[in-house]
Amino acid sequence: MKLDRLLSFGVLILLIFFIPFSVSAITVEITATVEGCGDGLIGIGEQCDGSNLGGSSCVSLGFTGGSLSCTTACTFNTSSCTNTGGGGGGGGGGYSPPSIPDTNVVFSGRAYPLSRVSILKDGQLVVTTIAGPDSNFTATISGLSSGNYTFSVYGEDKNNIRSAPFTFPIYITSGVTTKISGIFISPTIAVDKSEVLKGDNLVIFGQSASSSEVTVSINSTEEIFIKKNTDESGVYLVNLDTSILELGQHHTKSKSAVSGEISEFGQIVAFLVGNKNIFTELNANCILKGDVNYDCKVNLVDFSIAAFWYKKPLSEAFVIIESDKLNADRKIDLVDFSIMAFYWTG
Amino acid sequence: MKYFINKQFLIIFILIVMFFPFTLFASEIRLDANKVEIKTNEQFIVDVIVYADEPVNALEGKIVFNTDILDLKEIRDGNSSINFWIEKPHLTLESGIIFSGITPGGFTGVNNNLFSIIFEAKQNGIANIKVDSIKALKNDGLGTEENMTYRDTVIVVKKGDSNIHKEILEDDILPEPFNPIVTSSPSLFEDKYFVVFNTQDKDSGISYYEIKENKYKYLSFFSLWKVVESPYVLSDQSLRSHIFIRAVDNNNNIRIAEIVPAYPLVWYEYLVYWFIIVGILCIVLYFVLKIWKIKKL
Repeated sequence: MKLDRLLSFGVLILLIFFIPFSVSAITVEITATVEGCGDGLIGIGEQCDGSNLGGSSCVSLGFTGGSLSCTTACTFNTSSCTNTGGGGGGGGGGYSPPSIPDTNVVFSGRAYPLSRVSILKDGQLVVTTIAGPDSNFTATISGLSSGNYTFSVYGEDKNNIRSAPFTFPIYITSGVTTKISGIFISPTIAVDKSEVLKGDNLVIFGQSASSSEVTVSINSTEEIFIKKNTDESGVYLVNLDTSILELGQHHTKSKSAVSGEISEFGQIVAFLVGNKNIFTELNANCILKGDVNYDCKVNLVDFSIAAFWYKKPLSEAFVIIESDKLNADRKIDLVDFSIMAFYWTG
Repeated sequence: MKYFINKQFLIIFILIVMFFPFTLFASEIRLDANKVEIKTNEQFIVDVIVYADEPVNALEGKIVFNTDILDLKEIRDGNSSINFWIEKPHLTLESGIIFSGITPGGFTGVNNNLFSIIFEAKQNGIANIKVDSIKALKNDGLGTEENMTYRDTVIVVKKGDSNIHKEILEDDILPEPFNPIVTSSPSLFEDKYFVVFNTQDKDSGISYYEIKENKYKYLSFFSLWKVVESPYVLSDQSLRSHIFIRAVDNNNNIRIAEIVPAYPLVWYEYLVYWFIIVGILCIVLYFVLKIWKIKKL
């Protein structure tokens, strides 16, 4: 009997202490379907949270008045917003509140057939899309504020070689869809040798839009231009006889034209005309300046690592990285960040 | 003959005046004040603007002013052409306002706003606000320096506080959404995991960031926010915690980013589940005993 009472008391205590706790935990778990919703703070994907409307009101959403509230799913509840005025007019027909206009940017243009196209917003990768077999791509970025943005668009060819980024600043107006069309991503370019024996052939290759005309420029005492057409997959290849080039360092770059559109010149690739052949590594794309953590990308992580060493004496380990990936002056200063910003991939 | 020489000189002089400033000093940093004459206790804004003839991707510099006449109230870097600050514009005792930052891909053109400075006049006099030094690097992959000219500004401060004007910025827009990255590097923090983050606020600019780490997502309510800077070494090196980072702008609008744990807890590691299980067992046991007791009677 005593044991029974003790057990009953124990159960009662458990019920008092743990059931509300478990119930509240379950309640929280339900709200977890919308991340962070219910914490009073406006997180990603939320328009509002509880009484926190983020400064919005019926008027800012296009109504003439009324009271704006927040739903349990952290979206605006405009049912109490009103629209008055506008003169008389006949009755009938229900009123449908105006929808909140989105602030979007739509990008469209030409890359390489079935290639990956990346879009950076203020240096951070926000959208990746795949171009169609006709090389055309379209991508949309939503949920922007009003203000100045810098967008960069670059493509990656079938060998994972990246193009030079197409960068442009633009002022975005709230509630407006901005369309940016006619982007023509410059061709990718690579060479099969970092040093070529004078007189031997050097293969210059890359990818651009399908059936386009690629102009390859090779700097010499007089700049040499070679025109080649890409095939259906956008690939081009130039076999250059180096007997026409003088000994020493040279650079090559390419641009593309199709249907009256023309791209900018793309990345510049260096090679040496010397007395031996040195073939380039297969994964040459990873030999990227600025990539201080060797992940084949130059982004916020590399920036943060370099920023940590800014104006500080470098560790022995980082001296090696600095000499390999930056300007090899055994210090981190603005020049290193400029190199990083040039090779930025997001 | 004399007339001819004079005419020739005149033409050459005009050509020099017209074209030299553009050919020699193509890019410029200028300080644009919204007022030229103010009264004591009045506030005014100075915008730091860059005209870049060629794309520049890195900038650093210093702005000095008469501290006996002007008081720095605020620096707003919202809507800046700089995407990543190495050193956010801030006041130092020795050097005035210093700043450095980069823009991947670079920027070019006439009116690239770097940041805005809000001053308040302390006493009457003539206040000089000057660009003391600036370094701008071209977006050429080599860090080649771009020639820059400076254009300073002068403000006349007169006595009187009858028309006090404060520069108040309305900002109810949240900072931009952002995606922090958890990573590690042998060259930093002894290969420990750290988190990097950055976002922008297009109006008042980002004021600071705060972080919270908690293995139990729904108990993170009880833990306190900690003010941090990127990169930040994570407390939980096992990567089993939910990480919340919030960006707070200069008008206290908050944007939160969450990183889900790389190695989340399995169900039996959640304390609350054990409370529920024990509770249910106790209830079942209670009713079993009750039934057993009734049957016994």
